[in-house]
Amino acid sequence: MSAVEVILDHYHDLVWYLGTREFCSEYQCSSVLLGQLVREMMAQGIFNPRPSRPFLGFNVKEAIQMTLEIKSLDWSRLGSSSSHDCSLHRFLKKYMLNVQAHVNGLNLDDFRR
Amino acid sequence: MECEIDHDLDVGGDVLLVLQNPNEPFAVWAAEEDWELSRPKPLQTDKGCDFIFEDPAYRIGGHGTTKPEPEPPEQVEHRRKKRKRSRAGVVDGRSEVRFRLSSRHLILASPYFKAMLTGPWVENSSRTGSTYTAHASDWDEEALTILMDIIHGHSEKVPRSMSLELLAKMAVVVDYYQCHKIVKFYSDTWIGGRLGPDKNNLRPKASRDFVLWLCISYVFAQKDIFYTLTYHAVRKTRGPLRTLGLPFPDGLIGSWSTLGTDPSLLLMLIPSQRRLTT
Repeated sequence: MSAVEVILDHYHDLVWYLGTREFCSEYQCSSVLLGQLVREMMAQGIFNPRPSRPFLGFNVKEAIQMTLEIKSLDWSRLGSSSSHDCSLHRFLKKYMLNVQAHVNGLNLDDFRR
Repeated sequence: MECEIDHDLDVGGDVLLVLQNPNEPFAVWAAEEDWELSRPKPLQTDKGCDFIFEDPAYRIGGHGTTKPEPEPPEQVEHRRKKRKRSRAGVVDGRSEVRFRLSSRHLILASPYFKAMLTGPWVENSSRTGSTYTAHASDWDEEALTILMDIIHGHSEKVPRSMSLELLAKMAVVVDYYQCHKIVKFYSDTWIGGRLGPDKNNLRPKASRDFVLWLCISYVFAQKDIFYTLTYHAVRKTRGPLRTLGLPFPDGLIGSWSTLGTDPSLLLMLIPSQRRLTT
């Protein structure tokens, strides 16, 4: 499994998670985040059709950058309490940074004759 | 009647190497494939890191850099001494270049020639009297001449610096004739001259340059450069890289890695004429 595949899988797993579970006490929270996630994925062309191997046109750096640039929501304007801080970053940022940390160059000795 | 010798590396040499069809187009970067232009919607692009498939100079094919880099003075002098050539494959109206060489030097420097000259007389070679005749084709004449100068101890003729293009051509002939050891001092010098003290700072600005450097780092055993290049390739390539017919290890070609496995290979290369499936 390539790093790009790991990242894209995580996005689609998150769609399923937000669509089927309550992770926050507020019903609208999951709904809003699910909507935002789907919109972001559609904008990046990774929602439907779901990209498949060998993921031509995608790279790790941009996929991670895409995650980091997702906007945080202003819950106060959505009628929620001002202290509400749920965001997609909660599910994506740490995971993507972990993926990024595991991307390495290759050891030439592994390929020498 | 003795044939004309273009490069007499050893007047008393007993090997005639005939280079046929010299100076074939090298590592040609063809037009982009469909997928390279059909990304559904580009993700945010970091303008400072766009060296893979993003250089406009490579969107319309061709294989040169956007602006040809100036040649080092020594290489200009070396080239000045070369004979005039009108087009690829034809030198002074002839389609082959002849080298007179020493079998002892070749045997000591090259396992390839050792097998050829000490084993049963094999393909692409023949023996007439005391002279062996071997054939090669398509190599760059300048690169092959430099290699033979090194093998025959003509160090004063070997340039101390060279362009990326010639360096890549050297890598190809060195790899083919398995002369890595005898060239080691020179290749370190050439690479050091191009990169300076910080090899990790290598940032090829175009896709073809990247592939040339990857080949160079592999053939000349530059571990740091190889690691740096593959690290950036893993992160930034949007699909298979092209090998451009250059020598790359089998394990690197057509491979996709799994995250966390060893080696963490996230890079896929494809030969220039075919695509490997995964």
